[in-house]
Amino acid sequence: MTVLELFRRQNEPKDFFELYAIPTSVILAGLGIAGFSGVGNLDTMTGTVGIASAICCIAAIAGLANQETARTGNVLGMAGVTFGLAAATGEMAVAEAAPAAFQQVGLLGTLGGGVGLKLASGVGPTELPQTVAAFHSLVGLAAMAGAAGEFFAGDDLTTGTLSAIYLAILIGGVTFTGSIVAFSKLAGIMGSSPLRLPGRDQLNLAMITTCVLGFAAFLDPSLATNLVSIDHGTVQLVSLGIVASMASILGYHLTGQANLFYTFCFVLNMLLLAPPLMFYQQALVVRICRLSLQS
Amino acid sequence: MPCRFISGILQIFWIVAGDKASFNDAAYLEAGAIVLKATQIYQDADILTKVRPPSDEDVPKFAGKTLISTIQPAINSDLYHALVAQGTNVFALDCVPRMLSRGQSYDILSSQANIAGYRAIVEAAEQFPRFFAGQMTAAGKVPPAKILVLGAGVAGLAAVQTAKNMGAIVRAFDVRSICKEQVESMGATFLEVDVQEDGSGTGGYAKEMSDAYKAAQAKLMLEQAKDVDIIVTTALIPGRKAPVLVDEGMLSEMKAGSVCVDLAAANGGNVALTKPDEIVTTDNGVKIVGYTDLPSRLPATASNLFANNVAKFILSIGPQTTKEKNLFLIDLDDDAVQNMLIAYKGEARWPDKIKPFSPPPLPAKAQVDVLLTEEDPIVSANKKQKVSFVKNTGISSLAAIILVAFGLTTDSPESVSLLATFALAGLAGYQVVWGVAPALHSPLMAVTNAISGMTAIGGMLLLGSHATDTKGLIPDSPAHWLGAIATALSFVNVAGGFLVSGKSK
Repeated sequence: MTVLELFRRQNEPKDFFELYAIPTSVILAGLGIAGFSGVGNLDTMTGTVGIASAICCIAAIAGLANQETARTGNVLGMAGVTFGLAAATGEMAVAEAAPAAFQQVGLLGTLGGGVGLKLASGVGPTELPQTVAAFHSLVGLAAMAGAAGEFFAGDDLTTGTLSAIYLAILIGGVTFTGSIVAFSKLAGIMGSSPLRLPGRDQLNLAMITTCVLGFAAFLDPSLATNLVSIDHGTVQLVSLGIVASMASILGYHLTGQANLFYTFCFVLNMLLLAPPLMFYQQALVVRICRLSLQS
Repeated sequence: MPCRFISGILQIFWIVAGDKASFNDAAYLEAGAIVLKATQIYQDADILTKVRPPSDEDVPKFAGKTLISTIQPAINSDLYHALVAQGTNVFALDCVPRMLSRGQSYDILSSQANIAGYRAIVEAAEQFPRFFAGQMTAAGKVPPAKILVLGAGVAGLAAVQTAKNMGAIVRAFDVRSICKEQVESMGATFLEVDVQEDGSGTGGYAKEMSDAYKAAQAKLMLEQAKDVDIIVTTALIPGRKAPVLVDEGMLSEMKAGSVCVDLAAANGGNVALTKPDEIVTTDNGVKIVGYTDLPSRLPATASNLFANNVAKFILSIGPQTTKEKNLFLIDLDDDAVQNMLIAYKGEARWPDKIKPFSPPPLPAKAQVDVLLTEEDPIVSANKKQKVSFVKNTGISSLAAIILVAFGLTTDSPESVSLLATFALAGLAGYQVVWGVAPALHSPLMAVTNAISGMTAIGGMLLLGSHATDTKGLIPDSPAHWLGAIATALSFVNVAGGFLVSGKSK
């Protein structure tokens, strides 16, 4: 029994969410028109679909304010994500990606979605918190991958972007392991007392310091090359590698803050990779995680 | 009256009401009791328990024994002195200290009053010629019954609950102001008199009210009498004459077919014209039910609860203070014993030697705190206000500095519009999330998770950038590989997140 179904009170009237397929198709059709026929500009149409995505996502959260509108909120969320993915597809076309790229996305989407459905179908409402924590860890990992990919793909990366990449990997790593720890605790695999390794605080400090130094080297590899004779690219790669591993270890230590890191992770990821429309979602998630921290 | 078998103490049963309460011999034997004839019981037993006070002929049988029973020493003083004279140790169940919290499990007054309150409504329904709950039927509309319960103690509250369960409109009245919340929590209306006076007296009972209050109360009661269909009165205080709450004037104002149930009939009655153990019908057609044995009309539960009260009390005599199990020992340091032991070793302890139990006073510290805030409410409010202003100033100054730093250092208009979007979205998100009900936090987290699967977009864009020459399904550059990983993982999130939060079937 799904969680929101539990909230359905007896004798509530039937929903007709199928009707919402109509406005959804209008938007997607608009994108299709811009993409496949000569009408309109795909770039701006993509941005507009992004607006639709943002509206739906915010409305989705608003819908979860009370039980009557909760199921609508869920449907809106699905619409928001659909539009977002559609807009991204449009962006890919704007960037003139080859058909193979689209096929890759299709394959990955199907595989990933299938795995997600399989994992989630075995979960009951009481296991929700730990499932959400487990999924959070995937976001951390995805953010790390995305940021690293941005680094490799980047032609000329500004300092701002470089910083965002570095931070995204750092926070993504912490989110990844932190969420795994949160999952283990919620699932009862680990005890609920915080991890108390001897010298834990010093260890954390040492790791954070390393990351800070690595950050400086990443931004300005010449700092490092003065000490060791390797080329700039390698310096940057090494520092990224270091931060990734450090962050993962830090995540293991910094329990209880998993939600916070997840928030910032998502924010940075969006900052880095996505056009402005994504900001809506990320700001939303920020608030949500603040709230979840309180509860 | 049945008692439960207790380890270490032999129980002997005297079957009186057993059959009526659906307990037969076999049930007693199963519980571990030994069933004997009455005469042998009096010979062999050291401790005897009864429901009602012993009759005069039976008194000598208790010589030298311990008796636990209702006694009502104020009313039955001859009986009391006779028992004292022959050296019986007497525990009076009706002298239980009602404010002692562990005493609540020994309190037969409460357990039986609870039953009486319930039964009162059942008896009222038997005599009342209409439904309790209103109905709209094709044959016509039936109005609901209006019930007024006077006295919101254990019996009163039980009556309120039962009447509410049957669908009536229920009002209750009590001079003690603490009852208001209890009554309202059951969905009934608590009637109040204009005069501000709290009637809570000692021991949990009410006290005598001022004349002004009484006059206002009488006026309220007269108005109610014209309106309500059923009045249940519950002002029964052990050993005292019951106050008259419904006088003849009120009775004459009540509609024909109305019912009064008087729980205090045994002690004179709260309703004028009550006759104990009878139903009286007034000239204007009002029935007054004066049964004195309402708990006995629910014999199974009454016996059960009474027996539990007594058993728990017996088990506590000794172990409560000495901490030694299974040793019955009369210890005057025990608050319950001290209040209920009205005769000990030939000495009459009631009422002079009894120290009535009162709950310990509040610790002095709490009172001092209360005094302080009462003295300076304005000053402390000012302080709190200032603190919050300072905090807000700090936060907004920090934000201002960040904004200025951003504005002075950035050089692209796009980043400005980006930040604008971020800020506005943040505000929107904040507002929207604020209203989420706590019960919905779980689905909220799940939906959020799904939305955060939008990291797929980043992955997709990576796969799409510099992809004009992409061939085949295997990624061909580090950027594309990482994009692929990001996309795959994100889709797991999207699908899983939405499935978990509940897709409509």
